[in-house]
Amino acid sequence: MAVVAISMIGGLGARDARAGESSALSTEPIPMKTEDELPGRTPPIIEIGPSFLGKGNIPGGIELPTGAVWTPALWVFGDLRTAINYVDNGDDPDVLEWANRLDLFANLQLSGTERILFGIQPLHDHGEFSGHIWKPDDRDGTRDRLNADVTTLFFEGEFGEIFPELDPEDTGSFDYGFAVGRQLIFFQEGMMFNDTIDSVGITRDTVFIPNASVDTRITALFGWSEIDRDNNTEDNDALVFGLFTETDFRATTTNLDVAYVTSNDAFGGDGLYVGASATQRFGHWNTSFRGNASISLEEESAAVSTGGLLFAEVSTTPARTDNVAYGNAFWAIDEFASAARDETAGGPLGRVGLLFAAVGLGNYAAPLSNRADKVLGASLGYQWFFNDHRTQIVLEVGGRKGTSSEIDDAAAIGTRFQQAIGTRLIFRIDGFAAARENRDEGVGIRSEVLVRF
Amino acid sequence: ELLTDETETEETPSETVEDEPEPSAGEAHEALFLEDRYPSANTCATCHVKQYREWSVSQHAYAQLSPVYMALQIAINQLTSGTNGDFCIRCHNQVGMNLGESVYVSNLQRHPTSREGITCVVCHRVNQNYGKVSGRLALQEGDLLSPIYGPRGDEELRRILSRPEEYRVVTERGVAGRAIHTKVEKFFVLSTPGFCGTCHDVTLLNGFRLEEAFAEFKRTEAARDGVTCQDCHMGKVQGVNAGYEEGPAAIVGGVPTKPRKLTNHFFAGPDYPIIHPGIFPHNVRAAEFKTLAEWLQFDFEAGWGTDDFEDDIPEGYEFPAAWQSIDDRYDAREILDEQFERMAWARAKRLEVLRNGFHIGGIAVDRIDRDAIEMSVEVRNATNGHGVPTGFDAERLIYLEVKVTDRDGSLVYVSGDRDPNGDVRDTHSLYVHNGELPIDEDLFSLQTKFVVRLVRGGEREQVLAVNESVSALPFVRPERRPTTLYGRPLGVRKHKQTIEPSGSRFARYVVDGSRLTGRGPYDVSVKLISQMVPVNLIAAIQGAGFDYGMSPKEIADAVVAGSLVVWERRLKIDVETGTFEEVAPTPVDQS
Repeated sequence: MAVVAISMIGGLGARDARAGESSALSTEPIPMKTEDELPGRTPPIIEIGPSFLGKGNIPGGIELPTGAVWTPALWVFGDLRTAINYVDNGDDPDVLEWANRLDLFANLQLSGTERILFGIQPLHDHGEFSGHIWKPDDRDGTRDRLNADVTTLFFEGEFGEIFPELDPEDTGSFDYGFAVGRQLIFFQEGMMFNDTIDSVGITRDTVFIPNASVDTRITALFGWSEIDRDNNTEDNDALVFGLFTETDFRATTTNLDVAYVTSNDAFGGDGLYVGASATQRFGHWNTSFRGNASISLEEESAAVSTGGLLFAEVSTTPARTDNVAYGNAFWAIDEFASAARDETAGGPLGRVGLLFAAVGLGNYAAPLSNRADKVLGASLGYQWFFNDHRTQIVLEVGGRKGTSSEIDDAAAIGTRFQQAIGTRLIFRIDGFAAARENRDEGVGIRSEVLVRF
Repeated sequence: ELLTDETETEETPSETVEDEPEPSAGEAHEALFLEDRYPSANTCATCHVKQYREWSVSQHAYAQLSPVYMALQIAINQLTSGTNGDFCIRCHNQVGMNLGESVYVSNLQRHPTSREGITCVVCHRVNQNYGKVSGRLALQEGDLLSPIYGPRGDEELRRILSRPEEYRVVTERGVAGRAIHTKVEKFFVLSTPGFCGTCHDVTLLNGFRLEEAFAEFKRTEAARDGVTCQDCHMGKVQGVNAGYEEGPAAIVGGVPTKPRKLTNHFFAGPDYPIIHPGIFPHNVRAAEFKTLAEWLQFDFEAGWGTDDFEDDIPEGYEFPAAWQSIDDRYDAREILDEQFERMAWARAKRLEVLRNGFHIGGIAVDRIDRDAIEMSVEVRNATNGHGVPTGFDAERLIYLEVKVTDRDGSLVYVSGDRDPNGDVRDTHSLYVHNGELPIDEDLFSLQTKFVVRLVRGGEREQVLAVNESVSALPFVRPERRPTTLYGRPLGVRKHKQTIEPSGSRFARYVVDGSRLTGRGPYDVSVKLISQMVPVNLIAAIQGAGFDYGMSPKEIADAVVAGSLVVWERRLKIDVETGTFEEVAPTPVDQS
């Protein structure tokens, strides 16, 4: 029984070539693992039609009048998260709660390139989660945030694949990808865009730049509804226009993005947004440098303001391990604003560190503010892997310092523990302690179980 | 770990091989039944001799037998809770997956047609244009008599069927005689690039674009000129559009069919076999003679079946039961000699396609003095049909080995050398990663890299494209974002470092004056080397174990031994006079 328990927690495989004692490959044969030692396919909870990457015959499909052949399959998948959170943020009353979140998706796969994705988040709504709050006393009670709001619904595909007879010689003339509907728009690591928007995008991929790049992607976007501005508030009048590129050069990958948001809303305003990044490795060091700017074209507001955000990420993998040591730093000049931020996305600094990111479940907010207004800061962290990567610990310290007297300084230390159990469960613990200018010290601890299906 | 240790002590590879049971009567009937659904290439070989011979030594034929690929797809499933399912093996082994075989089982236990990988029926029993489905397409089931699909229809077949006395064929089940398919359905798509694109544009259902050969092709001058994949890869010359052979498509009852355009079914590429020559290339006679397990016991390297060995067998030498007979050993050697001949042919074709895909310029010398030698080498994509390398470019090792030696032969500079495992000294080399060797800062490699997004700290290169930093339980599921707009999922991508069609890249080298010994002139050797996979891949997947009882080192050595020098340039540099001259490369035995 104990062996079974260990194997369930430890996983059914064993791999860690880098962490081995010797660099030399073994001359001893390694027998193929048997089926008993390997995980069976872990399917989505619902499969109608051909299974998700399952063996067996694949049906012949349906030929459309366009000449395309579709083989529909429906797969329902997602995550269920349940957590107990305790937070004492220093000033406000302590929070003790049980919070739940379900991200449920139905993917109707039509062919290799076409699909419809439908998603709901039935256990939370407008940043409030179903569960129970014990503290503060004045909020004590059970919360029911059940809803059936459609949070994702889009179609994506390629013109050339839907209308193959328009290009029988395969010259790629109609080889444009597109996606239309309510979809997550995420660019510049969420600093420029991190919002679910009703939009349509068209992409030309695998574009060559002579003697420079074998792979460039160009995407044009128009969004017309469900646009949340920098203050995480929906602007019913806003429209989004964007052009986004990604290019693999020999040594680096660059992103050049530009967007324009227009709105006549009294609390909105027009804004121009530009972003550029370069991601590369220097020897054993992984680096990513990113610069974003927002320009308010009208009077500044909570929705749009003028500012810049410089961001650098550096990491390395120490010898004989797969671990990650990282350090990130940022400088927010004036009041940087994102083009669009979802109501639950917080500010644009989430990638700086775990301490700057909300966990996305309940009232356990980011220990350090992720707003990018007149502030600079950094994080240093280390991620350890154990037990074939199924056990992970991250330890991180971080801080932020205002470049203006109205912005408070703050520092925090935090940790995250993750343990995979079997093939569907993750048990997780997070904790932090924070010291903030003009506030009492804060602490938080939480445990979570995540079920993947 | 406890389970792993127990397993390793309980089951040795030799036991696995020797204990493979003979097929029972039931299994034999099952095999016959399955032949009615998916005929074996060995059946097709009866009439389509040329096509079978070309296919049998091809990458398509090796697709399922490769122990590296099997370990890779098992390792990925191991890391993703089995959620990668049949994604890899579906393309490599359509028949086995249709039959419901396990994703994990050894090739020794698979149905013979399953072991054939991309076998005849995988292309010729497809009747719809599925588009870019990453190999997830339907095969039409049916025995040999059922229709097959080809680009030209069945005019010639009808002529043959109308003359049964000449060709002695039968088209009815249960009737004795030479069975033949009753119809060739015209399926023109088979001869278009789009048909190749059903497998050679590989996108995982989470939007991860693993291979983009077809997507690249559609952007090229070749596509605009109407040159197809088949024109360059099924013609007279591997890798260029040089026309097709003419001849009979079949020999039916000893009588050739009418001459017509013939396509080459070898499809030369960068892969090569590293397994026992008794089980690959596919060989009808070998398959009839012994089982795979028995072939694995045949010690061809010791000389079994040769006069040198057989005339002087050491006393007490013991042969396995299957090889007690000296006649069997001589027969096996005869089969293997044919196998070696076919592999040598395949190696020559592989070099042909690589030389038509890659060119290098001369060594351009930018500076010569006592303080430094500076030089550069141009590497060109010689094709206008796709990038190079293409396809599984994240595991293709194409690199420059550059050596500078003084007149005594002492090495004064090297880049592109190998560590003791056989890896070049990039960050994936275990020796480099573990700090035992320095990184090769000047390495010129065209290998694309898998890059994963870390929990924090940007992205890092990984040998396997599985992101374990963000989650302790990586899963393959449809992406929640529209991947069409991003070209990839959020957590993992490729950093492509290949060369676009007709493009070029320059490798630059500086030999610092402090390294020069003063014993000139200096000899500069530059080699463009192609290897099917880097050795570090073998290290990364070894936890899954290897088929055929092979060790990681044995596989690595075979992979390195199979690498080819595609081009070489040499230069003699005199630092004292500041002059240089090109010299002819030393011939390399690549047989």
